[in-house]
Amino acid sequence: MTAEGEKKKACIRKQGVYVSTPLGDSMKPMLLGMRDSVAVEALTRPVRRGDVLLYETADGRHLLHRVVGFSKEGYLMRGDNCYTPEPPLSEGQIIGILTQFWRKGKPVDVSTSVAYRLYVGFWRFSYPLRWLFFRVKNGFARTAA
Amino acid sequence: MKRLDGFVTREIGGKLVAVAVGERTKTFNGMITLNGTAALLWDALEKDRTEDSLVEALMEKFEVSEEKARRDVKSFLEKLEKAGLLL
Repeated sequence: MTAEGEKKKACIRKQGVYVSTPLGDSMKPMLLGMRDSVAVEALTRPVRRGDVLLYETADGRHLLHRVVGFSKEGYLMRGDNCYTPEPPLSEGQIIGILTQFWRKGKPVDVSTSVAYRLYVGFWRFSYPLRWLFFRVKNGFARTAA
Repeated sequence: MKRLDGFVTREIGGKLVAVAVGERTKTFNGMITLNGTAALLWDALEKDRTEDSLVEALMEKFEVSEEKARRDVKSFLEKLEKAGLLL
């Protein structure tokens, strides 16, 4: 893990939480970059489908994306606004798990919010249609992951 | 003196933290943890303030001696300056 990744993990160990502002829009519509905030804590239970994890990619970037499946090689991750596959994620790449976020300033606890759970279910259920819409809109040309 | 703008405060698990939003995210990432004293000073520094006025605000809110308040204010301002957050 990079120094920056270790710094975030250390913050979680010391403060119990790492709060920051995501910069991109890969998790739209749930989170808008530079506007909303996220709270990430240590992972203390098995990862579940639907969890949002903060992790470090092989090339040192930090992403906050959702677990959409499992494979022998690791967790399958995808941003809510993404349609290209990512390399499977191993445990060692995980910095923490999203426990709360603030959307337009309003706090949402991911473990207790009914609205959030409905969103996660709907977003997962609607993926095939959204993928098709995305492909139609952007053409069916192969895009880089 | 005042602090840089472009931050919001978030409360989580009884803690108050400040994070950058908008354009400020381009120059500052990470979080600033604020205890009771720091939270008051952080809020106060949204506007232009003198060190004396910050000391007075602390003394009024927490009923501490001027000496302690001045130490706390100095320490907080030094941290902000070191982080590049003080104008």
